[in-house]
Amino acid sequence: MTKILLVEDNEMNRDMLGRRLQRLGFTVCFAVDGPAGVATAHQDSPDLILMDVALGDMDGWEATRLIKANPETCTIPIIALTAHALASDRDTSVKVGCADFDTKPVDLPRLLGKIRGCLAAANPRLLQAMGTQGAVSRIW
Amino acid sequence: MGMTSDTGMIRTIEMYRPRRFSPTMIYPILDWFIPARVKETSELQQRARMFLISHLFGPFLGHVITIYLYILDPAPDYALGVLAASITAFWVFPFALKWTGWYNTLAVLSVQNLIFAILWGCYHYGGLSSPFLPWLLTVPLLAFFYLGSAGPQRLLVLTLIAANFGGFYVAYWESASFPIHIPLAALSGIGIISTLAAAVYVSIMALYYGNIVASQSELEREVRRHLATARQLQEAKAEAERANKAKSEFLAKMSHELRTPLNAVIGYSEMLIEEAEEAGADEQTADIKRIHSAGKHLLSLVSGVLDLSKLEAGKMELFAERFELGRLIYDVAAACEQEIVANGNRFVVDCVERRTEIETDMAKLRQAITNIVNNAAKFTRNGTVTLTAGIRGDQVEVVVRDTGIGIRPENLANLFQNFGESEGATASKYGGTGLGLALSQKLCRLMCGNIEVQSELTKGSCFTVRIPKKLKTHAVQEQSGGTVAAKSPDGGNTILVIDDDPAVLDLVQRMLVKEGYSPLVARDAEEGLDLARSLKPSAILLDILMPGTDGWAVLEALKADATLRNCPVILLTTHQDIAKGRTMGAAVYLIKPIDREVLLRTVASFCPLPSSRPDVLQPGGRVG
Repeated sequence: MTKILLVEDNEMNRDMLGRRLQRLGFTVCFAVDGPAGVATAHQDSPDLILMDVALGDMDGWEATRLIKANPETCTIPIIALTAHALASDRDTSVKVGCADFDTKPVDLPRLLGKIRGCLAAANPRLLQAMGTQGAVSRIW
Repeated sequence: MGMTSDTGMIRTIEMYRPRRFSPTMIYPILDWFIPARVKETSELQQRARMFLISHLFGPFLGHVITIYLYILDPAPDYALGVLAASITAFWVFPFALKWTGWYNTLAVLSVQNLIFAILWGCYHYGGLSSPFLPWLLTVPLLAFFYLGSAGPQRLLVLTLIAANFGGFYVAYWESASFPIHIPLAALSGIGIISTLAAAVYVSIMALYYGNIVASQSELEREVRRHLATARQLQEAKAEAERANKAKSEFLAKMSHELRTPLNAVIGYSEMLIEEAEEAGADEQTADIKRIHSAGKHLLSLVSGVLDLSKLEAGKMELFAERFELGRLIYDVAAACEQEIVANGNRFVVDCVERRTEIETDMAKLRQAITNIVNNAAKFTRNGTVTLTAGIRGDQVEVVVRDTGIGIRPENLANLFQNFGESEGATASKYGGTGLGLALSQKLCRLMCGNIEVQSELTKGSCFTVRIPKKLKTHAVQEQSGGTVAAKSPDGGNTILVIDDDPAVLDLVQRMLVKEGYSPLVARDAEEGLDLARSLKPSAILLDILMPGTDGWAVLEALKADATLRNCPVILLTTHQDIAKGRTMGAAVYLIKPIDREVLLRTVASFCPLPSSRPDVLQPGGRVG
């Protein structure tokens, strides 16, 4: 069972995306801010992290940096979610080590493609398990 | 009746009102005498004018007395001769002023001459009961008019008067009496005349002085009014700028704030649709889909406003990616199909070169085309919407054709303006935000492209999108591709240069002439637009920072003019307003200071010169 950590401070967004992912068969765990995200990533060791960038004190970039700095969590692929599709956001997401980048509001089929792509890249065996559809997504 | 006759009378009075006399009328005569150095200070010029008036007119009054004395005196002697000479000497002063320019010296000499004439008259004609005595009153008055009333001048004048009185007393003391040329009793007549003349003289000077004071205070009031107006204008400008900034911030913030709850509405309705479909609750599904589509519509409005304010502020970023043309077209088709079919239309998609890869900002191009197709869908009922895409040279060409209601010719001009959709009944029947096409055009221009439209009322419309196949991120390199279509068809070499800086104009003009172009130059926006309209140049070099009407306004006017719209505009600017320039339809921008090579290369890309110049190279052209 693939486990996804959703780091998102907005309650409604967390609920919406979380429930839809659960319905698709993923196990979803949540974190409401940056520090909680870093802690949960360490404790629950998810297969993938969806990171909202616009969090409170510690933003998603900083949280990503911390997760990537920890040897125990550094292999977990992270997809950054931002409200603005700015080139500067993309640059930052690459710089801090995100595997991919998507804009909010979430277009579920598109995000799903990226999730599958990241999972496949992180674990080639998973690719076989999921068929080939996940490979379409671009990897940074 | 009464009304008409009243107004008629007023008009008559106004028509026949004589021109009021004003001292300014004699200024030209007075100013002829005033040397340039004195004119430099307006205060000194005013004093010189007073000086001239009293010297030109005063002696006439003085000579009334000398003539009277001449008649009274049985044997006119040296006393009368000296007096007459002294008074006549005043007429020399204006000319002396013109030729020497020594205003202050002449003024002191003049005051001295006046005191001398008066005391001489007193001494010889009547002593301390002399009719000349009232004239002493004019001395300090005139002295202060001429010289001003500052401390040193006051002291000088008083010393002068005192010294003269001293001389007067010495003369009296030596002879112990006044000489008698005319009996005192005979002088009573001249006493009245002299007093009268002195009074007239003083009055003239006082009136003149009063007039000057009045006109000066009028001038001061005028200056104060102007200053106040200028300050108000400045405040109004600052206020407008603040308001505009606040507006943009408000729009951006509101759009952002509105998007969060809207996304919740859309997201939850999507979830409900999924659940309802699973449960087979068709009726519910239809209702939730309505909520969903209304939410989507509202979101597109909000996004449109946000995008437009970003575009207008020049803050829209481009992000180029490689993709197949087909992917773009089918994305658009998938997004629009539902609405087209919902209106009973047939939807035809034709993209033969679907495997061709292009490199541009896919999201923005998709948005631009989607808006156009949605627009076509909105205004077409039971007809056909055709989406055709292909590659033409360096450009991607996307054509959206419909058989809808068409666009009135008078509405074509502002079709791409914000909220420029046909108004009234049409809009309410067909719906729409009025932002889509404006946004599309601005996005295409940002990507160095353009949208053209042809339309016939009741027959349908045809929108053609052309943008470079490969998005150039550095504006200076853009000349090579993308703008080929904008080249002047007749290979003309007239280049219009609009810049307020004469040095830049001269420099650019010389560069262009040397290469064989015919440059035209304009110093400001109005002149530039006039020249552009009358001469239809092959390209326009436009400075952005100009006083008065700036380059943006010129650019807007050029792009609004159907005959000039296709003329490539090269922006010359110190600002790097790339995005704004592109949005508004500029072909290229060059950053000042202008590099000769880059400028010539850019111009040549729009207006290639004939490879040979016939006047130089034709074999038979040599004249013997």
